[in-house]
Amino acid sequence: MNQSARFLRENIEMVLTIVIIGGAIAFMLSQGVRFTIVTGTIIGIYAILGIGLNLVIGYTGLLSVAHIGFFGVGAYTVAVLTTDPNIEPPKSIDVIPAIGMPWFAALPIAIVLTGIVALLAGFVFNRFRDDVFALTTFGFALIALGVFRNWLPVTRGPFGIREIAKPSIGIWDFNEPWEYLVIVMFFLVVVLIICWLIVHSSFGRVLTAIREDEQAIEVFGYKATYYKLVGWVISAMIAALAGALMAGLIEFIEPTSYVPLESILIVSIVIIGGLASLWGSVLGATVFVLLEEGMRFVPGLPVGIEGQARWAILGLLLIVLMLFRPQGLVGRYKL
Amino acid sequence: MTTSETQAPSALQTDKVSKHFGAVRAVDELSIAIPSTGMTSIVGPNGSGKSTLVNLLSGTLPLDGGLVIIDGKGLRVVHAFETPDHGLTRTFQEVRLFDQITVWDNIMVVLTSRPWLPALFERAKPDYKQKAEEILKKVGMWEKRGALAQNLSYGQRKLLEIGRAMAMEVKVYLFDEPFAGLFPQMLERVKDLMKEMRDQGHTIVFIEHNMDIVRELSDHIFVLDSGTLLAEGEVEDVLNRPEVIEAYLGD
Amino acid sequence: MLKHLKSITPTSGGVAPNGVTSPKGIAVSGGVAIAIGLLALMLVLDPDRFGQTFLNGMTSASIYGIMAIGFTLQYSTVWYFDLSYAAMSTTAAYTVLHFHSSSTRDPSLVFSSVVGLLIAVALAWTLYTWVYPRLRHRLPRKPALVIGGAFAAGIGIYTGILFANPEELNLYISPLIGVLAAGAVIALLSGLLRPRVSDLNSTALNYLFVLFTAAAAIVLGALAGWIISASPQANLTLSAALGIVVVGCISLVLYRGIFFYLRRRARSPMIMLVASLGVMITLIALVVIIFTAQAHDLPDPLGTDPINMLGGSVKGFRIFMWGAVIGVFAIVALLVNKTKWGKMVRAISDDEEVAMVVGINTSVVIASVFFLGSAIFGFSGVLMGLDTAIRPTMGFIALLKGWIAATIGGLGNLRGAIVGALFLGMVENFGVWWIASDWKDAVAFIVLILFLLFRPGGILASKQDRT
Repeated sequence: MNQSARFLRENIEMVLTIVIIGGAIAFMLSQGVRFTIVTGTIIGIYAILGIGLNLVIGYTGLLSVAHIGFFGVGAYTVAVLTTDPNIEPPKSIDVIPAIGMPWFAALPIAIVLTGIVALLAGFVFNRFRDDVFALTTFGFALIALGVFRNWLPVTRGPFGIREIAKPSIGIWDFNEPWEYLVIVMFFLVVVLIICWLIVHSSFGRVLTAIREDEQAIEVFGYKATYYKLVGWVISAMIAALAGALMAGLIEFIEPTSYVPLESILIVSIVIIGGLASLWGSVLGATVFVLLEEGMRFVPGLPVGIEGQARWAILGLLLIVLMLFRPQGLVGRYKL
Repeated sequence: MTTSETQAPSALQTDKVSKHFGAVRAVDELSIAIPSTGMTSIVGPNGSGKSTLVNLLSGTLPLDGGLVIIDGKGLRVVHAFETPDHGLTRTFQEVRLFDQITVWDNIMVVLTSRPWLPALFERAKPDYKQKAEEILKKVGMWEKRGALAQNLSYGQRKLLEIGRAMAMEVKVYLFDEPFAGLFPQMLERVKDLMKEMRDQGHTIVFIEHNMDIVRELSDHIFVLDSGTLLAEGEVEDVLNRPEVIEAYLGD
Repeated sequence: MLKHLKSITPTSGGVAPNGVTSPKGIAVSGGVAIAIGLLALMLVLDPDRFGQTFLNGMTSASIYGIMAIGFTLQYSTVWYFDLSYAAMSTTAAYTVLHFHSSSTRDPSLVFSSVVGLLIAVALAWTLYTWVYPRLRHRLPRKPALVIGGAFAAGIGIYTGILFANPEELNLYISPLIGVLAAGAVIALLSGLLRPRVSDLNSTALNYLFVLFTAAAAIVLGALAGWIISASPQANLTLSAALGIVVVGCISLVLYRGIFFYLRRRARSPMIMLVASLGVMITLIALVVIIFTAQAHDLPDPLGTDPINMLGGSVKGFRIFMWGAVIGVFAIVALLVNKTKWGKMVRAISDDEEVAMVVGINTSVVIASVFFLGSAIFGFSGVLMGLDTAIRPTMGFIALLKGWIAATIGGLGNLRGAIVGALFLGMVENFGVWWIASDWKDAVAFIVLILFLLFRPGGILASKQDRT
């Protein structure tokens, strides 16, 4: 008895990982292959977002609430650039320029554009820390939402954009759900590799040192400002990639998907999964998406409150984690 | 020490540097020249501006006025991130390690490329690893290399911080109270490390309250009081001056 | 009062001292000059709209002002940002809604019991930590605990009944009002008259006095209860007061249950921020589950007839709101600056450990700050709800605005909170003169960032803070 308790305590991370991944796969497969593919795609996209965000929150120690904005900038850029000129928009709403780029051509533009936006924003946010940083980045998310909602000639405001192209290479257009899953998983692996290389490089080590004591690391000759800025921009670019994938998946975007409160959900992916752990973000995304999907199968839950029940559970999860496990499920950094 | 050594070119000089916090003049138009060889100690009663001076020299605090002359260059603004280029590094009075990373990474972090671009995908090079191993063995922390810095004892933290500074391999080392709160055994170890560095030709500057240690180690001494220079010179000579004794007893 | 500056890293080491001649000084004075110029232009272009915008600015400022006062009180005591107050403000407004929309919903037993339980727990804890230690020498332990527990449980059950019968609020609350009124009468009479009567040294007169006091209390208490139960207008005020008390109790329970433990070992303000974020989204989600996410309307307490002034028009209730912020400011300023409690709060604000060493029961005082702080946020939520529609997320943006107001006014300074709120309300409303009013929030954040960059101490920064 005592021994098994000790085993559990010493290997808690492994146990949690196995339980979550095993439970997730069992649950998804029990709902059918199609469900598994669609849910897996969404998990992949949120995992990409979470991994990128972990660079800022977990490794640099800055609680950014701005990433919903970068997610949105990426999604909107792809949406605007790939708008299919052949689809006639309804008469009542504004006509936006139809460029009709292929998705894969729009992707790098979206990423670079988001990087530039992040760089400009980063010059300002670099000066803040802790709670001031968190709350001012929330302001960025608000401003981004304002742009999505009010820049009618480009974003069509509250009506959203409905003519987003799916990714395609030559004759292979990724129309089937499983094909999209392949693309998302490909990008997930690429992002994981890039981020793994970054966090295990000298750069990543300096980022963690900045998190621990910014003033001290400057004494040893590192310009913390540049390091923070670069980490921030890379993270924003990854968020843009996730946004572009999301836009390609649902083929429709509107500003309500990018309200700042959604940013809290994304932050909770990182915190729940584990701070300063790339794998943790994948776990966090799994928990996060399955919580939403799983709510529909809870017996006795009144119809229409699944979304709210998820919010409540996420909130409780955050409180419990802060009390007992401030590094998240498999994290390496305690808040 | 002999006079020829005290007249040697100074490694670090200040020209009327000032720092005030509100109405308090922590360092007030202070001009000193730290000799480039041997060990120099800075002593003075509490609140005399010793730590502030070290913070000013290392760029941890911005200067309110005056000039820091280091490496032959006069600086009105000392940027912390440029001090290693000028050949200077320091330790902190309240040990400032990177708590939530390992002992190994605490040393490795100061060995790598400084600009961000080369650092971005840089793997740990063999010579970095070799250097880190050498340092960790020297300060006796090699067995502890996998532990998080926050889990070390106070003495170990102090040693690790000195090790981190040694890894920088610069000319001038500023130690802010390196002996405070150490057990005798650890204290000897730190002394030995500092003597070794002196023998290798580094400039060692340290702040200390214990006069026995000051007498034993330092070749040159600066006595500060209320942010101004009270006395300087050879240790025995300075410590026997009436104004120095008064400053200490009066405190 | 310098603590908040630790969140802002020093920007450029050793720039020229702050003066008009420094680049920063030139930028700031240039900005002020441009702002004044733009304001003058607006006034010339459309004086009526200028007046209306000014009135709207005053209204925004009054809400932000109350938020900022509550925020300042809390923040400058415990030095971390507590997002859960956003939910407090929302919850209080929805409590009022609960007593006014009963026709649309069936108040469930579970909901009422939970509220009752919450009140009972909060009350029991207050009695145990605050009242009991003072009576310890006079009362035996067991009976005291039993009586206290029974009292708390009784009040809890009573609150549950109140919440289970929202339509009958007046009727059910009138006994409570009666008892409170009677208590007030007894306290007043015995405090004012008893000493003089006792001086006469006559047993008969003393008995007569007690009799008289009791009679007066009963009559006046019954009268108060009857007036309340008979006047439907009182309903709104009563439910508002109830909502404010309820959120105060919620925050007491939260403090004791969560924040107390977290504060002991928090390495950074972030852990508190995230935990309070969890509290906030849980509470807001519960509100949505109970009341749905739709916007609701509350009755307008002072009628909808607008009052014309300054070329614009303004609802009567908004003028009440302007007064309310001054009232809240006066009460909090008095409490903090003139009472013994305020002295303790300021001691904790300066250094909690030292305060503990000199014998202040910091846990209890901080709990009381939590109670008062969330009561203030609850009040602001009620005001917002009565002024416009109520939404579950309304508290969140408003809290952020309160924080912005407090920051640009000068953190940790009550006067700064008011000045900042006035400034923010005006900037926000005049800032969208030429653009869509959707941008108000963005304008507020841009103003905040400009302040953090150029004047991190805020408008009313002391000289020390500026360096």
